[in-house]
Amino acid sequence: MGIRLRTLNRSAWRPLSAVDAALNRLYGWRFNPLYQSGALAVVLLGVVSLTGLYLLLYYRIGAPWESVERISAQTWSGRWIRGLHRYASDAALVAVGVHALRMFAQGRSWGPRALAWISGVLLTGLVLLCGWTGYVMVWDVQAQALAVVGARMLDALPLFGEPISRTFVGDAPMPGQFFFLNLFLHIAVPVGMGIVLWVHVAKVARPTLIPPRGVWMGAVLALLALSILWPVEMAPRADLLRLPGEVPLDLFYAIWLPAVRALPGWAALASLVALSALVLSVPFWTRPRADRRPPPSQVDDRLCTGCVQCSLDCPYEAIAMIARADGRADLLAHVDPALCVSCGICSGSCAPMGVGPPGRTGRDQLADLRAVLSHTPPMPGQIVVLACDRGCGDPSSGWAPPGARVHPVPCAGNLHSSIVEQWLRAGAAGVLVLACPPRDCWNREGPSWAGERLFREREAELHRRVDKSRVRLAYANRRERATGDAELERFRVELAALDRIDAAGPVDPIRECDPVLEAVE
Amino acid sequence: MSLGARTAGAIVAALVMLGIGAASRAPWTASPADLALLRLSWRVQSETAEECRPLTEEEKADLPVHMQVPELCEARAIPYLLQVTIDGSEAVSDTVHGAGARADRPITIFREIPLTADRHDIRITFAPISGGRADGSVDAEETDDVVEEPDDDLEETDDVVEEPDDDLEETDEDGEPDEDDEAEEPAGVRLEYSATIDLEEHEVALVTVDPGGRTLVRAGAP
Repeated sequence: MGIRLRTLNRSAWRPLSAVDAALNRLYGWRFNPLYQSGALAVVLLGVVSLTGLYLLLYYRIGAPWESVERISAQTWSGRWIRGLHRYASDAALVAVGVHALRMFAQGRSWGPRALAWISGVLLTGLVLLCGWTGYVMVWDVQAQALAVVGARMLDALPLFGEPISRTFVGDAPMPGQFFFLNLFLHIAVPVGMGIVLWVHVAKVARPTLIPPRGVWMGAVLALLALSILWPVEMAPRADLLRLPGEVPLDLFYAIWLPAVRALPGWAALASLVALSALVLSVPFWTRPRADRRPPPSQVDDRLCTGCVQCSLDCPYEAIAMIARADGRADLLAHVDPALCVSCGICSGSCAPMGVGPPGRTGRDQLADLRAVLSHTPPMPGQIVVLACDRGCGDPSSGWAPPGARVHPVPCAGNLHSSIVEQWLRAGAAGVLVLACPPRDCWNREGPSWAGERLFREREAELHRRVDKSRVRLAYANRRERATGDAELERFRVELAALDRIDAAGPVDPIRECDPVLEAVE
Repeated sequence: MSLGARTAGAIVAALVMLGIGAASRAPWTASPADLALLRLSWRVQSETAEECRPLTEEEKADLPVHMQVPELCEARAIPYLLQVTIDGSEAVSDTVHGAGARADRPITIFREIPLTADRHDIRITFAPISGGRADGSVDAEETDDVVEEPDDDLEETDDVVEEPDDDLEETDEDGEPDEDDEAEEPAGVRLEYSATIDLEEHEVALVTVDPGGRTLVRAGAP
C-alpha cells in the first residue's frame, strides 16, 4: 500500500516539478505563480469579495437577470467589474487546485498536516458552493440547470416532506425569497470561509497569505485585461417552462454538471458524498505505515541551552519552551509529537546540536560525515554540492556534474552549518548548497533558514572562521539540473579567481602602493 | 532574466488568461434539440380511512375506566394511483403515498417525463386506491369507513372526473380554510387529464391542478 501511495504521490509530483521548472525559466522562482498558489488563491478571493461588494449595490432579488443585465450594460464600471468577479473566482479555483495538488504530490497531507488538508477540502467545498450560488444569482440558463440539479440532489435527502424541485416547476414566477436565500448564502459562505481559513493555517508558523507583489499584481492586472477585452456576456434568461438548450458552461465550477444532470438525484448525491469522502480521507490513506513514518524530533536535555532558536525556527510551531525540572535556570525545548512533522529544521537551528529527529540531529550529521570522509575525502579542488534529495540531490535523478561531488541531504534547512565547515576543512574547494526554491520547500522554510544561517548570522550560524566566499547557496528543483550545472560553473569560476588570489600570497600594501606613488611623484 | 524569457512569460500568461476566459463559457448542449418534457406537479390532501372494532372484555379490563370506549378505531392513509399514458403506452403507473412517517401528510406529485418534440396524446389519471382496487372505483361497503368522502354519491365516481364536495374543504378551528393546504384538491378526489398536445423543442408541458383545485390542467397553455 505504502509503495503504491508513494508511486501515486510521485506520479503527481513529476509532472508538477516539470511545469515548475518551465515556469521558473519564464518568471524566475521568486515569481513562479505555481509556488504561490495558496496565497494567490487568498488574494484572488479578496478580489472577488471587493468586486462583489460593487455588484451587490446593483443586484435586485426581485429582478435578478434584469439587474445583472443592467450591470453588464455599464460600460465603464459594471461590465469589467462583473468580468473580474467571474474570472478572479475561476482563477482562484485553479490556484486552489494547484495548491492541493502540490500538497498531495509532496505528501504534505497526513499526520499533523491532516487538519490543514481537511480544512483545505472544506474551503474548496465552500468556494464551490459560493460559485454555485453566484451562478444561480444571475438566473440565466446555466443558473436554471444548476438550480434544478441542486434541488434534485436535495430531494434525495430524506429531510423534506415535499420535493424541493417543485420550487422550479414553472407555474409561477420564482419567489423573491429564493433569491434572497441564495444571496444570503452567497454572502454568508465567504464569512465562513474566513473562519475555515484561520483553521487551515492554524498549525503553521508565519503563514504566507499574500504572495510577492509582482505575482499578485501581475495576476490581477492580467485578469483585469481579460475582463475588459473579453467581457462576460449575458446568457438567455432562465425559463422554467423550457429546457435549457445551448448553455455557456463555466468548466471551473460546473464541469460536473453534464454528468450529474444525467444521473438520478440520489446517484448524484451519492457521487458527491463518495468523492468528498475520498478527498477528505486522503490523510488516512496517504500516511505511511507506522514503522515507516519519520519520527518526531527529540530534545537532548543535557545539551539544550534554552536559547529558543529551535522554537523560533520551527515552521509548524511544534516546539515550546518550558521550565526545566532539573534546577537549571534556563528554559528547555519541548517538542509536541502531535505537531511535529519531522521536517528536521530544528536540527540546523541548534548550535549545541541537541535537537532534531533521531538520526538527523547535528551530531548525527557530523558522525555520518566523518564516516564518509574517513574513506572518501574530497579530492583537492573539488567542489562539494550539498543538494536537497527532493531537488537536484534526488539520487534517482542521476545528476553527476563533472568535477563536483554531489552529496544529498534531506533538506537544506536540516543542514547544520558545521557540516559545511567540515567539508571545507576536509579539503573541498567550495561548498555549494543546492536547495529547493524557497516556496517549493517540502518543509516550508528550509532554504530561507539555510541562507540566514550560512550568511546572516542566524543561529546556528556558519562560524566566522569559515571563508564564506567558498560557500554558495543556490536554488533548483529536481528538473532543473541545467540550473544546478550553471550555478556550479559560476561557482567554479569564482573559486578559481579566489585560488589565483590565494596563490599570489598576502598583499603588502606598501609594496603595492610604492610604484603608484613613484609614478605620481 | 532575458528578453526572450520575458516575452515567453507574457505569451504564456496571455494564453492562460485566454484559457480561463474560454473555459468560463464553454458551449454545452444541455438538451438535444428534439427533446421536450412533460412535467406533472401538484399536491393533494391525503385521505384516511378509519377501521373500527369493538373492544373485547379483556381489553376493556386492561384499560382505566375513563378510556373504556366501546370501539377501537385506527386510521390509515389511503394511497393513490398515478397513471400516465402517452400515445397509448403506459409511461407511469405508480402507487403514491402521503408524506410523513404515517403517510398522512399531503401527497405531492412531481414527475418529469422526457418526450420528443412532437404531437402526443396524453392521458393522466390520479385516483385513490380504495378497497385495494387501483381503478379509482369505490367499494360501497368499504367506503363507509372513509372519513373524508369526496362525494355522497359514490356510485358515480367512475364517470365523474372531478366533483368534490365543497363541504369537505378543510377548515381550521376558527372555521377558516387551512392555509397549509394551499386551497388544493380536497381528499379523495379523482383527477384526470386527457389531451393531445403539440410540443416544440425544449418546451415543457406542465400539468397541474387548476387554481380552483378541481381538475388537472396544462399550465400556460393557450
